[in-house]
Amino acid sequence: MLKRILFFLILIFCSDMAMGQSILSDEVVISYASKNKPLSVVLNELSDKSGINIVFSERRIPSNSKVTISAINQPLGNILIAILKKRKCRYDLVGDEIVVSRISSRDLNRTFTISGYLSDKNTGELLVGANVYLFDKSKGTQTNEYGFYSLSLPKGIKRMYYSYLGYKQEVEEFKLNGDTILNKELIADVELNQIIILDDVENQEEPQTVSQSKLNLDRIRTASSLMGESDVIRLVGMMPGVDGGADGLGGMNVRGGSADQNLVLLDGVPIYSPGHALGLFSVFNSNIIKNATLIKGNIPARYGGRLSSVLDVRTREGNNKKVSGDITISALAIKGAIEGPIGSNGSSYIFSARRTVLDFYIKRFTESQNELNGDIGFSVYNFMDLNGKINLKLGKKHTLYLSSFYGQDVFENEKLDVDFVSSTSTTFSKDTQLKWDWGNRVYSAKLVSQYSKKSFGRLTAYYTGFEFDSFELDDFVTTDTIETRRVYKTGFFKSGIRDIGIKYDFDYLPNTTHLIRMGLGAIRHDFSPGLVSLNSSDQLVALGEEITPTLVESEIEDTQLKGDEFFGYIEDEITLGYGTTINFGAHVNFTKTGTNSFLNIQPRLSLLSKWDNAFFKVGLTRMNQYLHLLSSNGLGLPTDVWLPSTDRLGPEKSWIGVVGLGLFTSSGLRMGVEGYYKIFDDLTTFNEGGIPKISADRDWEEILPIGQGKAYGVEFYFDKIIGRTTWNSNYTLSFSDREFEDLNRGGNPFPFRYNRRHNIKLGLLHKITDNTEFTLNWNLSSGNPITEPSGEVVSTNGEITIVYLDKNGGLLPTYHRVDLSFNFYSKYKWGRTKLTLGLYNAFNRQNPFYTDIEQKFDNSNSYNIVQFSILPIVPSVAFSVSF
Amino acid sequence: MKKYFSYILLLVVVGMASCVSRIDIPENEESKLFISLEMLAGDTKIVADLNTTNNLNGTFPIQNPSDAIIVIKEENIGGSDVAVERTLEYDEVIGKYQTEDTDGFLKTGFTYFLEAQIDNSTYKKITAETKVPNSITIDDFELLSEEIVQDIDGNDVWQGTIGISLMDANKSGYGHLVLYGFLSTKEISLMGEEIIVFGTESRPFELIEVVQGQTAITDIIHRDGLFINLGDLNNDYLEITLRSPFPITQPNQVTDHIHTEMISVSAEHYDYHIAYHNIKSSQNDIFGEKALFRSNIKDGLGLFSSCSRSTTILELRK
Repeated sequence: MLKRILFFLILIFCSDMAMGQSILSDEVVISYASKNKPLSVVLNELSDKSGINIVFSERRIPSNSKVTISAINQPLGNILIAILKKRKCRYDLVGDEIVVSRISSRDLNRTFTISGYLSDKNTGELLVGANVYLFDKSKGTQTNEYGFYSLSLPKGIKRMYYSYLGYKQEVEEFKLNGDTILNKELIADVELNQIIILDDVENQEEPQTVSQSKLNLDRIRTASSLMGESDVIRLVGMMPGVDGGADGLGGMNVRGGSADQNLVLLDGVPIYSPGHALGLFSVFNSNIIKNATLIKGNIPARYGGRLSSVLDVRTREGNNKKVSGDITISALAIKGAIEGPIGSNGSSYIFSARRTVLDFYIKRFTESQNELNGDIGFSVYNFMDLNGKINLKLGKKHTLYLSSFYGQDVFENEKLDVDFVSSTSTTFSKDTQLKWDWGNRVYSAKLVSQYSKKSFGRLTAYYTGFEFDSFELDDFVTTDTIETRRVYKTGFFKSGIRDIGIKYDFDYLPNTTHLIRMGLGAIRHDFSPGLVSLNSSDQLVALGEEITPTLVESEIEDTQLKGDEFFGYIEDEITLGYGTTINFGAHVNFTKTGTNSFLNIQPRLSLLSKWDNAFFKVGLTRMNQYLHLLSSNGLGLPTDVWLPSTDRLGPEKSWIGVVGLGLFTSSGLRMGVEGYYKIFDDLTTFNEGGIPKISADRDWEEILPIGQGKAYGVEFYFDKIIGRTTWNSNYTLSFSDREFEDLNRGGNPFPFRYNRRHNIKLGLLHKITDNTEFTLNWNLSSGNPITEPSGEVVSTNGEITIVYLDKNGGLLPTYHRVDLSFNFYSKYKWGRTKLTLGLYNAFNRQNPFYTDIEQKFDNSNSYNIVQFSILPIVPSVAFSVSF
Repeated sequence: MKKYFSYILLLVVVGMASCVSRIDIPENEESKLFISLEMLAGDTKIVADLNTTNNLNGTFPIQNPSDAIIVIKEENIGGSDVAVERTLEYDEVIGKYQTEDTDGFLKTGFTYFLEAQIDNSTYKKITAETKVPNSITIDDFELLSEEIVQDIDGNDVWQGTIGISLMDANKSGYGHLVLYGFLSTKEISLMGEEIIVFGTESRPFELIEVVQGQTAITDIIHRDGLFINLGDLNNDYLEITLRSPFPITQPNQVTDHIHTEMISVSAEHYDYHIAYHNIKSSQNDIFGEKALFRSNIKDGLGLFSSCSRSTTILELRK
């Protein structure tokens, strides 16, 4: 008896000491199989096989319980947990021995909370969306957007896994006998190997909820780069169901939705135009991105205001341990970031800047090209963006984040073509000008508070704005011996949207099976659309007088439109056990437009069931959008204008249904299929013909057509890790139509401009050596629908007119692109370097993004289809230094 | 080294430059017959303009064939043994097909069928139908305001805003409202009364703005009227600002009358003209959206439509 008491005293003492120790049972990896063997026999055999003494009392465990198990190269601890849990037993480490005993019913019923923060060991950056779970995945959670996790678990020995994509997985085994705070610091793989190898399926995007894809910084940095610029939206474009437009032009279109239907968030604040260079590059400088989440289907209730998808981009807080930074010089741009601690309490800052370096050379090159052609003129383009973020720790429970973003693009093209025909003594001059100027501004302040181990709050106030100005001029002057004649077309288009918003979000974890989120907010939208289109008949200027942007802009009626939006949401994520999670809730928003008011209750429901190697997911989402984007051709050109909902143009609405099935194995295989069906209502677009004048006192809303649409499709994906090679591939079959009463000959349905019927994508990442890697990205897709000419006729008044009969009735040629790159990493005492050699569009495929029709010079009855492509083969080099 | 670096950067710029390639239109694109045939009840002629379409690849340019057979047949409601039809003959002077045999031919509410073909040609026979619409009339009107303004040449000219109430038997018809006037002066008759004397030349009023009923669209072909979809009007009411076509050149010149033609048009007629308006607007607008062509001709292109007309003189100061 004394011996037994002594045994248990030692057991309790030693198990309390186990926390933080090196886990012997994890270090021993064995293969073992048994079929219907008694538990006592199995434990003895495991003891023999592992060489570790396993102690147990046959009377205190169900020793005759039959065990069937097969484990290959598994840690001993994992095998023991798998065997013992079902039999209500546990194991503890006592010295060099493992002691097996029965769990008492009192221990089973008593639960404690374990909580803490996960951060990067090197920089102190908090890790968002990291996984924290028990070995058998019976309980688990993710860190929230501030790196915090909280789990309620029964008393006893716990083996916790902490994992995050791009970081070395950590295991912690300890005895839980009270509420515990456990902060973990994970080591980035890049610190270990310099190159990230996804060698564990747990590090992959194991489904946490329906239709979500998580991308972290390292996935973004190793993604295909254009001119040395890796890009989050370019990476998102490689996902199934996402079409990145033509080389990025046209924006991001998710599952048959248009670009304006994506809610793009930068640290929770909407960005209205996430692209530089008309979408070729995103405004998100990869230097400052922490992670990004793309939600294509089941959108949780905390998100609202757009119809199709959410791209939630989070920026880093900055290194709170030491001053560090990086500089990258690429063929396109020079960029850099600096970050460091503020004080010693964990506060930090990060600033980054990026600026194109090509403008000088573009201007010189285009000037010389024009000179060669006998013309005068130039083109110039540049963009820049600045990011800044400061996080201030206000005690242990509160953090204040101050963020700002500034992005600006400028494009200018001027050309003067003068010809003299001596036979008639006539001079022809053609002056064409195009000036675009657009940019985003975002400022936000966010107070994050941890009220308890189970509750979090975020109060955010922000301003986000997007403005663009567009000036165009075609001016023809003919001078002969008798007179001078002038014919011109010109226009100025400006559109702006500015939001001031405030919102409060609250997260509450009542127990390990619930995560409740709720929030409230209000947004004031200010719109300033303006358009003037003039031609010679308007007699804006006298002959010889210059037409300037300022002169044309002065013809615009000043228009200010406003829209107020109020919203609230509540959602609950419930873990039902057996790997099943339900997320349900509702997003409610309200707006008043003139005499009407709109209250929209949008239910959200999704279910995810996970088994050992498979998962099933299904969901239904209702979304609505108070903003309308009038897009002249969907290209994301500066003729796009944001407008509020009005009495007639009510909020746009959608239903999204998703169902999916997937398989994954510990050997790195991940495959699945996902189907979706979407219905859109109350969409609007430009009417056919001239663009209506939009001003506060005109009835423009009566002219704009209202319509509906539907999109459906199926996505297949197959990902595999084979040794040093990671393979990602997917195929999407997609259908998307629109139907407007006044468009396409009286309301016939027509294909959506940016839908590709078939879409195959392949991504390959191969680690050649520890310091060198190779990436390949391949995209083969059907052409986009386009409106084709059907012939030329003599119309009623005798004019010859080219006619178009079917909206988007034709197809552009197939899109095909292969990108290659090599990354070379070097590590020094002072920091790291990375050299990237890339080849964009390696096959030099002339992928069209637009076509037009042009009369042949030698035959007035004959025409050509003129196809415009923007990016042929583009080699690139980029070099970055991190310190 | 600097030069070498410059060349590299220039190479990158060339890579970024847009690429343009020209593709020939396939020769299998077929050519069709294109017809424009608008019938107005009460007119003394029915005229059709028949051409071929250019298929854009140069193999079939636009032609004006003279050997086509164009027949218009009336709906046989009573089951009569004798079909009512008219055949249009080619007139080489005007290059169009026409008939002057219109007496009792176009009846309100009747459907008419078109057939046109060129024998022994590759062009497919084209067919179409149209129903003669019920008339739309001006029920009432009011002069809401008037003023003397200066036109583009600096001349004084009358400008006014009028409200017009329409009466539509179908409550969902389409109209083409033409407003015109004659140069008129106020004179004293031999009896000592004030009388209005009209000149002989008529000109369309210039439409300045559609104040109410913005869906009414200016006729871009004839430039003297408005196309109206009554289904889009509130209470069949239209308010427009218009300007006299005659600058004030005489002290006794007045603008007391507006002559109107309210042409009730068939749906296909309305659609065709609105589409054409959109196409022209798009071409003249630097930001314009590409507009689609409308046609009600099967196996071909063009318009076969019917209209009926009512005329009213609006006396502004009764």
